[in-house]
Amino acid sequence: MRGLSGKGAIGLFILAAMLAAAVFARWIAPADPNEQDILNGLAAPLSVSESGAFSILGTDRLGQDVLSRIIYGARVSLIVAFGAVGLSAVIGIAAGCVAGFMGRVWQSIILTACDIVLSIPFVLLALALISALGAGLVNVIVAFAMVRWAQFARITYALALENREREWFQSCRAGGIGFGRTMLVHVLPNMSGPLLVVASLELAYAILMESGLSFLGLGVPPEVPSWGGMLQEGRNEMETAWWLTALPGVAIMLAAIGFNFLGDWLRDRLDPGLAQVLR
Amino acid sequence: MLVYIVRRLLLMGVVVAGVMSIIFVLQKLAGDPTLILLPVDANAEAREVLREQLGLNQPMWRQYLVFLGNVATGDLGQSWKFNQPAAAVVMEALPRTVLLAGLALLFGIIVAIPLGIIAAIFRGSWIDTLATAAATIGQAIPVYWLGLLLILIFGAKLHWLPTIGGEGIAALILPTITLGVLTMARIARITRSSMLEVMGQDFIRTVRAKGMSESTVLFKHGLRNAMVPIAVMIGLQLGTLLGGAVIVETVFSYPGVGRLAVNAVYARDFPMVQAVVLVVTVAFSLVNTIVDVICASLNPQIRLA
Repeated sequence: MRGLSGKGAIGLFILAAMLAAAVFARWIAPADPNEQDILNGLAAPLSVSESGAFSILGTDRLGQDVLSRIIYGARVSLIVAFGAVGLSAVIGIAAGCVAGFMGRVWQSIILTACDIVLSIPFVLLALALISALGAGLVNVIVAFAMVRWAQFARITYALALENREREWFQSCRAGGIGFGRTMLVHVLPNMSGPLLVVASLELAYAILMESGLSFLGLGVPPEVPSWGGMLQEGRNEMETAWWLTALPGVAIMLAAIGFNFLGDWLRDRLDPGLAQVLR
Repeated sequence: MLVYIVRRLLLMGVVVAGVMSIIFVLQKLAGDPTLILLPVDANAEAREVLREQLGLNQPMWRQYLVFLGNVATGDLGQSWKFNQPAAAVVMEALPRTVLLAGLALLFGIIVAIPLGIIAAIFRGSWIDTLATAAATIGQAIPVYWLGLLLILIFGAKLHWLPTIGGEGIAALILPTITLGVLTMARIARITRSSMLEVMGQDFIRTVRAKGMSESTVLFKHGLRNAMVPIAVMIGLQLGTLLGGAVIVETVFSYPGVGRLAVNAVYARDFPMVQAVVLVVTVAFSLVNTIVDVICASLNPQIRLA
């Protein structure tokens, strides 16, 4: 087993920093993210206001502290990303196992369903869903899972085809171990490596999608600090207050790079046979 | 081959039918349209009349069949905001989105393939590191943010290019780059790894040993054999580009179907949203089918699988 590569280390570091920011936001953030101080609005990064307030990354039009909003924004990103990917994984892995182990009828039904949802550009389906159900955190998660379960299902199916030819699988069946138990105790752990890789890459995708929808004003409500929402608000001040546009974007990009690196690193560590499936 | 084409067309039919069903379910989940179409203080009687007119009092299976029939004949409903057939509005905006997506794809290919090849030839050099870093960032950069940065730098600060709106080719440059960057990153990555794989094989050594010039080795034998995964990746980008267009068009106020869809969501104009999704998905699966058939005609392994 190879150790931690540069990529893996960077990925883990970014993920750890994000998790820490999200969990301990109350203690890390220098100010309340929603505390307004209009007189000290649009303060540049590293500036001291007349009242003596120092802000590291500046303030927005309402005088809200940008650094604090970015730290709190990690919450929305992580909740949506883990919620969306978790839901997609549960649905997709279950569907993939059914397709792989329950015979040809199920196989063609599920694979066709995958073809259908993957042929709708995700953003458009999310728009349709949000237009029908309204904006909000839960609906963003549902929209993501509605499409991306298919990605998990396809990979799980490919892994299932491989696993069901293995001797240990045949022994389980021959030994009279029930279907559910075989799946949960024996098959899933054997699939966990490649599925973690997929999950990691999907997390990066989910973070980009959530911030995109928040940027369009279709994600979380504006009073909840989110990176995409901050970009949307900063957009009108772009020429005078660059930090409102630049900084949340850096946060989004770092998060996406972190999860991508983590996925790449995990993929490199897997044995080449499994890495083929993920291509 | 014919069998493959027929099978592929059947699959496309199933996909389109599936998308229509999803849209129908969403339409029903969207709730009572009379709440949006009529003023808040309209009386119950007026609502009932409208519901009857729209066929909302029919049994669900009947509404579904009527919906399928309408879509099949090209009737995608009446836009509530524009007060004209939604299909006509979408078809008017569609060519502009296709143009933008096409330019972005072209931009991606033109930049990515040479970049990937160079990175593969000079593996491990600074140019490889640079190309890999560019591809990494290109894959992780939020498109709308990139768009805003480009507007800020080339529009607001340098005044080289129009920022938002505008006419002609100059107005297309920034949206094209913005939309094309992700595509470029993905194609560059796959070009690099595919070239590395091919160039390491025995037949390349044989060609070199025969004394062929390096450019023959590289392009005639190397690139040609590396092209299959690259072509597949290019085909996969179409969906990403159409989805990305939604956001890029909004950032640049570019009048394509994406901006149409976003504005329709703001205006709670569900028929318009549904028309965009249906038209884009059908166009997308049509293109996908064509790409698959072309791939299969080039590579027998695919059609026999």
